[in-house]
Amino acid sequence: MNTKLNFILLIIISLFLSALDRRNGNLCLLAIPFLVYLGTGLLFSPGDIQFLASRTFSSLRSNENEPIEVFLTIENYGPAIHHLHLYEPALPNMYMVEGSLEQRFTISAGEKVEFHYKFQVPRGWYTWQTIKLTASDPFGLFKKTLQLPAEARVLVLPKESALQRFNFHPKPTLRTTGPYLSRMAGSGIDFWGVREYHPGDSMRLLYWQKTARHPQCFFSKEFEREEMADIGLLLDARAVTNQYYGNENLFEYSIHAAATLAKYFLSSGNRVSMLLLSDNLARIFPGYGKQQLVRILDQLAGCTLGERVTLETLKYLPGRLFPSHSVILIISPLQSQDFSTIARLHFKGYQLLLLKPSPAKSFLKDHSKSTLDSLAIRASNLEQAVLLRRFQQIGIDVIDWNVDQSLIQTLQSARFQRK
Amino acid sequence: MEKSTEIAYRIFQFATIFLLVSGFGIAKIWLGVIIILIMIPYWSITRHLQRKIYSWVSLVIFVGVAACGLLSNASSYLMVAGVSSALACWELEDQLPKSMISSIPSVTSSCEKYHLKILAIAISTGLIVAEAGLFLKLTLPFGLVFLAAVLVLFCIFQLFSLFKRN
Repeated sequence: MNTKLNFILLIIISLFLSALDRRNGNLCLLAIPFLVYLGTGLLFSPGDIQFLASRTFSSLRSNENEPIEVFLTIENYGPAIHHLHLYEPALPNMYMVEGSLEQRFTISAGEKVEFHYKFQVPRGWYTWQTIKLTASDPFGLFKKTLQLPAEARVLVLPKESALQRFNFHPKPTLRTTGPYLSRMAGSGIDFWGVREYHPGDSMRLLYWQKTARHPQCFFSKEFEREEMADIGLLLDARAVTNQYYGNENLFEYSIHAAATLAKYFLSSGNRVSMLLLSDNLARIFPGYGKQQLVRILDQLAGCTLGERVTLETLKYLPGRLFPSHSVILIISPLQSQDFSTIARLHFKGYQLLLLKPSPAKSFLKDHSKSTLDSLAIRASNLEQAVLLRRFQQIGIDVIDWNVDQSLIQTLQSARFQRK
Repeated sequence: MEKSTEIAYRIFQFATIFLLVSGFGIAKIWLGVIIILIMIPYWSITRHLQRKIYSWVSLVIFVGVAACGLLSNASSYLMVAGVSSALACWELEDQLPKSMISSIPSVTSSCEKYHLKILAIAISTGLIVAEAGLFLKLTLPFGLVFLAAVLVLFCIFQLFSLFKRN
């Protein structure tokens, strides 16, 4: 019984009791409007409820900043219900673009009612099991709550940027004629550029158009072999390294970087695999093309920070995931204890590239209120600088990404050691 | 709130004040008149706060004041009518936060119109039955009245337990 019903009952009983106490029949009559009100509620209270509900979405895979439209349909196969209240659960960090999560409506027998609302959510997998409905009389005195099955799942993919130019040239580990299967054998070479003619160059390589424009010189075309590399993305999802101030964390930046780099390397024709270093150790074995990008983005969409995982797991790195001499791109805020594990990988023959997202300087400046805070931040920065220097000394390329700057800008301006 | 609901709410508010003030005024119970008149600023202030508890308190005050009026020989017809009107006011005020929920105006409108229709029927029926009861002068022994009251309350509780079981 709800509070409203209890309240009305309390008034009726009080009036009856005071009428008996005072022996005044008129007090009983004062209770009659309340009794009729209650009776009306009872008369119109929902009886047999037969609903069929469904939930559909404008798209089942969406990007982080795209609004998702939800369509709710409720069909009534029973008698008319005069008062229905629909509740949709609010998702964490949900932003409503249009409509409302609660609806009040009436539904007649055989009627179909449709609602829609739009919202934005951060990356993740979102699932719905039921639609919650409360049927009641027009006064809301007698209620029946229903959970109608309407399963649905939406995947919100992480934000990714289009990286055009990146000076990092991994050593090729795969000798193939390209990622796309063909029945006809091709030349296996791609146009690289134009240079001045050197004696001994084949006449077939002469670039006649440019030579015609410069009558004093000859020019030759240069080609590159279609060679690919095995790229392994290793995303550090340890809570201990990613959280740096209260609930602030660098993980979303790491995910953004992983998505951007996966897209870049796959579009360059490389074979890409991924290991998510979180509690459930999600692995994506090497693959090519758009399908592989979909697999990687799907995993990135749902990954969360892990409390129990350590970098020691990399001791048992499966060879199938990261083939010998492949490039491993480690995206991690790093800890000083990680040096030995990462160095071991380097000495095993993997080509390593470290991408280290660092907290925004402006954020740290705002939060270093006391002298002690600023000293702690300074000490931490020094420790990180020493760690990065040690990596560079053993020949590992390091990109220190201050998240104040855009990822694209950082990657394009990065310099790598000549090997 | 729908415009028709807003108008109905204002009418019931005015009717409550007018009927109860008239009832107390005719019987020259000035304390009752003052209490009812105090309820005007109380209503206008608490409506902006949009807390359910204030409207519930106002209904208790109106029922209590009307009961006191009945015991102090104020007009029974006006007291019963005033309480019926206060009940309608309370119900409409209770609907106010709910009416803001739906984002589809047509859905809200049809829902509120239906609610208003049923409320009007319930209140007018209750008022007619109660006023008719005032016309019929029956002298019943106390024991019979007591038994009737117990029977009514028992029926109510049985109905609710039946509803709860279902």
